[in-house]
Parts: sequence; C-alpha cells; structure tokens
Amino acid sequence: MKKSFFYVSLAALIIFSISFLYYQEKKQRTEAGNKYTITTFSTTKNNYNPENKETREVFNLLIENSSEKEQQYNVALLKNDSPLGNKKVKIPAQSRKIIEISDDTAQKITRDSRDSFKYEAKISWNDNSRSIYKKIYID
Amino acid sequence: MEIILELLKLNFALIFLLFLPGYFALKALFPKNNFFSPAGEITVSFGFSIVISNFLMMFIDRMGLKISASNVFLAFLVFTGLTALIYFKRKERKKSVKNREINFSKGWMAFFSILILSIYARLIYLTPKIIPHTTDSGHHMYWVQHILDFARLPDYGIPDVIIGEHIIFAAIASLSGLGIVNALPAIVLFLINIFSLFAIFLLAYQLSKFWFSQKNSFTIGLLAMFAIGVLYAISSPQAKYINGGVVGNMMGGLFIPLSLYLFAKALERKNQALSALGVLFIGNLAYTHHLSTFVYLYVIAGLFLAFGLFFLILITRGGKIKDFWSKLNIIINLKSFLTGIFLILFVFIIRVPSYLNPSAIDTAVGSPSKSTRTGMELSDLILSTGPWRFFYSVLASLFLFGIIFLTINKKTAINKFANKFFYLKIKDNVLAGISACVALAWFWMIFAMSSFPDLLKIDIPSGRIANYLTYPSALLSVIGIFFLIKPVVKRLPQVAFIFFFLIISTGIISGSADISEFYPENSKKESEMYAETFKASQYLKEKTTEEEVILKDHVYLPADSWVKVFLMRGYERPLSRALLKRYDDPVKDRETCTRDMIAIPDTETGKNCFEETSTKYIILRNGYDTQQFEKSENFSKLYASENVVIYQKN
Repeated sequence: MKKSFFYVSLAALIIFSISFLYYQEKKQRTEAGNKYTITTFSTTKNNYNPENKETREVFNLLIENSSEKEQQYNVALLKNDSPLGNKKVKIPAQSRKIIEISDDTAQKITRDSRDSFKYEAKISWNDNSRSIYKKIYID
Repeated sequence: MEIILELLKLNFALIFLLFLPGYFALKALFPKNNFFSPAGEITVSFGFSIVISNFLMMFIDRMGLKISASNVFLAFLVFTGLTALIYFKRKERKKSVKNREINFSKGWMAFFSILILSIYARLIYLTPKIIPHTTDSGHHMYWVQHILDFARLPDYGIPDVIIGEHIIFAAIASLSGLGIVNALPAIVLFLINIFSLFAIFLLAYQLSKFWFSQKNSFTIGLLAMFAIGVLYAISSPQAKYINGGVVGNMMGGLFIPLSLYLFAKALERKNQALSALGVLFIGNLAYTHHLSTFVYLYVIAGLFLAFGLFFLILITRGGKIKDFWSKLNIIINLKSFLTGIFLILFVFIIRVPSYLNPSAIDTAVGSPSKSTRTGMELSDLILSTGPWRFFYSVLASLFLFGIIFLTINKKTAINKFANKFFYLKIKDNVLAGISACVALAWFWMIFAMSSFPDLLKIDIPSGRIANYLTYPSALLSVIGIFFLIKPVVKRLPQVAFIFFFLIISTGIISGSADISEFYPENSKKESEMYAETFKASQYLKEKTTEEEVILKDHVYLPADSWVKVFLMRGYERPLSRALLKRYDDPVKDRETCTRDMIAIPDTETGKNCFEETSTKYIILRNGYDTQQFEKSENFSKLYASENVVIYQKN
C-alpha cells in the first residue's frame, strides 16, 4: 500500500467522522432548542418604587418561544392569589418578547399594599400552563 | 453555508495543531531515517503535536504573551515552519535510509476494516449524546473557557486538574473561533482514542517482532487493534470516557503505549534519539494527568525490576554484561538524560505542574484510607477488565514466561522444538526477553496496584487504577490467542478456524455484554434537557451579578456541571448539591449545607445554611425536589421551562 494512499484514506475517514460529530451536535442542539417555551421575569430585581418609573421593570415578563411556529400565550396576572387581569400575547417563532406592565397598572397593583406582596403570572398556551411568581417589595 | 465554514475552520485547526507540528518536528529529528510505517508516523506525529502544543503554549504564557488566536497561529506557524526548514535542509545533506517496514497490502486493508468498525462503534454510541453535558467535561471545559476568556493559562490553586488537560482544547477553540459548547471537546477526545488504538496496534506489532516474523507480528498488531477497537469499544476508558470528558485518562491511554512503543522501536533500531523522544512523551504525560503518570511510574519500576531479574539470571547463566549494557544504553543515555534535564528545568523555569505539592503527594501515597482504596477482589477485577481479556492475558503471561525461559535456556533441543511449534523467530534473545518483560510488567504491575494497594503504599481508588488494565490486557490477550491458534493454523486449518471463530465470538459477547446500558432510550428528551439547562445558565449569567450566590443540583439537573462554563464566576461556583452518598464520608468532614438548602430549605438548618452561604438562587430540575420550594413563602420562582426552574430566596 502506498504511503500517500494510506494518508489520504485515513484523513478522509477521520475528517468524515469528526465532521459528522460536529454536524450532529449542532443539529441536535438546534432541534432541542426548537421545542420549548421559557417563561421568566425579565429581571431578578424585586423592589418597586412608585416614585421611580424605571423600577416598574420588576413586573415585566419575558417569554421565549423557541418553537418553529407562532404561539399565542394567555397571561393571567395575580396578586396574593387574587386575579388582576388577563392578557393575550402572540409571539412569533424563534423569538422572545418582554411583556411590560404600564405605569397605571403597576400603580393599580401596588395600591393598598403595605411592604410586599406575591406577584404571579400564569402563562398558558395550547394545552400547557406554567406559573412564575416573585415577592415584590414596595419602597 | 455556516456549517460548512465552521467545519472548514474546525478541520483546519485540528490539522494545523494536531498533525503538522509533530509531523515536521519528527521529520526534522529523523530526516532520512524512516523508522516508522505510515501508521507509526502519523501516530507519533499526533502525539508529538500534543506535546509541542503543551510546551509551546506554556512557554508563550511564561513569556507574558496572550493566548490569543493570532498568537497561537503565529507561534505554531513559526515552529512548524522552522522544523520544516530544518527537515528539508537535513534531508539534502543526509543519505536516505531504506524503510525496512514491509508493506502488506492485505494487512493494511484489514487495518482499515478494523478502523472503520472501531470508528463506527464509537459514532453509534456518541451521536445520540453528543451535546456536551457530562460532569468531567464541564469541569475541564470551565478551565478551557478560562484560558479563552483571559488569554492566559490559569493558576489552578487545586491539584485535581493539570494544564495539559486543557491547553490543546483551548488552542483549537481559539484558532477555530468555534468556542467549546459544542462537539469540539468530544471530537478531540475521539481523536485521542482513535490514535490510542493505533498506539496499541504499533506496540503489539513492535513487541511481537522480537518473537515472531514481521508478518505474524503484523497479525498480532491487527488482533490487538481489534481487541481494543471493536471489542469493549464502549466501556471505560474508551467511548464512555470520550463522552464523559475524562481527559486525563484518555491522554494516559495514548501516551503510555506510545512511549512504550518508542522505547521498543529504539531498541529495535538501536536509536537513542527515539528513547529521548519517549522520555519527552513521559514528561508531557506528567504535565497532563497525575494519575496516569503515577501508574506509569509504578509500571516503569516494575519494568526495571523485571529487567533486573532477567539480566541477573542471564548473566548467571553465562550471558555477557556487554550485551546487557548495549541494550540498556539505548534507553539510558546522554540524549535521554538531557531530555530529562530539559524537563526538570522546564518545571522550575516555565511552569510547575499543579499537583506537585506535598499535600497532593501525601493524598496519593500511603496506606489506603477508605474502603474503595483497599484493593479490588479478584472477581471484581476480572469483571472490570473483561473476563475474556483477563483469561487470555493470564494465558499469554504463561507463554511469555516461556519466551523468557527460552532466552535464558541453554538446551537447544527445547528451543528448537518451541521455535518450530510456535513459529518463533527470535533473533536477539536479550531483546526477546526485554519485550516479554514489558508486556508482562505493564499488565501485572497494574494488577498488583489494584489488588494490593497497601503493599505498594497506594491511596487511590482501586477501581480507577483497574481501568488502566484495559490497554495492557488488550495487548496480552491477543498474544495469548496467537500463541494458541498459530500452532494449529498450518497443521489443522479447519480446526484453527473453528477455534478462532469461537474465541472471537466469546470476545464479542464479553465485549458487548453491557452495551445495552450505554444506549439511551430517550436521547432526544435528554438533549432537550441539556439545551434547557444551557438556556437557564445563560439567563443567570445575564440577570444575576457576580456577587450573588447560586446553588445548583448535581443529583437531578442534567448537564449541571456546564452551568459554571456559562457563568464563569469561579471553579467552585455555583455551589452544588453533590450526590447524596458524598455527604456520608467516613474519613473527611463534609459540609451539608448544599444538601440541606435543597432538601429542607424552610427548616432551621436550611435557613441557617442560606444565611451562612448567602445563597440567593437555586436552579433545579422541574419536579425534582421542587415541592418544598413551591409550598414555601420564602422563595420566588423566577424562571420556568419544561425541565428547569430557578428559585430566588425572598
């Protein structure tokens, strides 16, 4: 067997194998990433100051739709387990959306609250539902 | 298009860093002497490239230069260019020496067939779980990412990791620009494993040449490659370790047989420079994996003991000291000595391996302190090695003791009979004896370390040592099979064929006995969970600060050790709930907060732990130990995907 033939054959075999592994990993990670919906708060902060509008972000939600089709999400907000209201949100495929709370809504939520309360978002889509919640402290 | 570009970058980086430097350095050292077959040349080039990468990168770092893509590229370009220049200059001056490696076309076809089967077995296993997720790989890639982020080699501060486990990954990731949260770590380990198969083939071939004809030796080499490449392809320390990211062991699996091969080749060709290269490879191993180096040093001690006994017996039976010295001088000589001096100076001037401190040495050497370190029972050792391999290794040992007997025996009648019956072709008795000692010492020394650690003052888990029997048992077992079959092949070919078929079938059954364990039933679901953990880690990276303490769960959260690779906030961060049995350590006092904060967060113990550790975020697998957090008023749930949740302490 000629040396060059050995090298070329071996190189072809190895390059094919490693390329195959690399491609498979990328494909699997992409496919795995096309399955989920992530429901989170857009910030981990908890303190709301009615005088400071920027702190309103503590109420904001972030929903990521990683699937390959547009999804409609129903977002139900609760305060200390009492409903505050509902909102429907459409999020295109493979994108994320921040659902902001208006200043009026934030003021409305925190009215009659003392130091803190439980703020919850129940998100449902198709046959799925999920809830996230945080303790909001009023400054 | 993007994938094609990435593949081009990946393959370029691999060839540029894992083949060219070693190839031209080898050619520069031996410009006209073609010691190696093509398989030998490429395998030694691969190993040499890893050695060069390690030493060159440590040197660059010591000079204060950044480990950036451009510096890596330039450094390797200069090195490869210089060595290529030296090679071409020396090639002009020196006369060509004929390559005495005979080509056996059919044999090389068999080589490729075995290689294809070996690669196939590994690809089938690796593909469903190729997304990086295992514990060891996460730990190692944290340090690789550290090198990429800071463009400097890290000061580890702990003896558990060594620089040689990370440099080559960092160099390839840096040069290719592809990062490490992909198949790159597995690909590098896959290559190391494949070249380990070549190393075993070469070592088996080389050692056998001292007992048999070249053709028969080649057959033994092929059988060894089959035994290690196809049989037991998945179990530790092979494909399972590729997937597991067990870098150090895999490097040991390459460099131990490769350096033994270089020493054997040096003896065959009477070339001291090849020995010096073997010493350099041992030095590289010392910078790569302390356990492999530790095991290898014991093996070398066993080897010298075996040599010493062999030579003593030879001399008492009329052998000449001159013969003994001429062989020893090939291994122990000025070139090897100077290489050793270079390595010692490198340690003191450039970089000290992280484990070279008294406490680390104290941990490994001494009387076994735990039940897992007091030696394995023979039955467990046989199971761990593989019953088939173990049986034929014991058989081979008897045959090799027979070889040693023949080399010291004066009774020519016995020698004539044995040579004729087993088709032996011993040209040099001393070399035949030495090579038998190598094969025997490699296996039996590790056997002794696993079975009688107290006797040898070893305080390391015996199961980990026993893993090192994989390669020597592959080598020995095929030697045993060859000794059994060869006498029958020419005399009773049909019987030999049936015999061989039975032996190989039992080998396949034994080698694939636990294969069903290794193939995941629901790999797609697992891949989704890994991707979710990566996403959650990314969220924590973006939304939390460096000072905020995070706790993760190693027990149930998939790909949990990769959380630290995303966060890059310290090797010990995030905090981690370990496997529950770890908390019941009879020897060491273990903290229990990481367990209690997840198991009993609302109790006094749990609350005290939260206060003590300042833990603010807990990342868990959804539905696993999450009930206590869902019911509690003390925690918020900030993040939820299908399989991963993040809680925040209120």
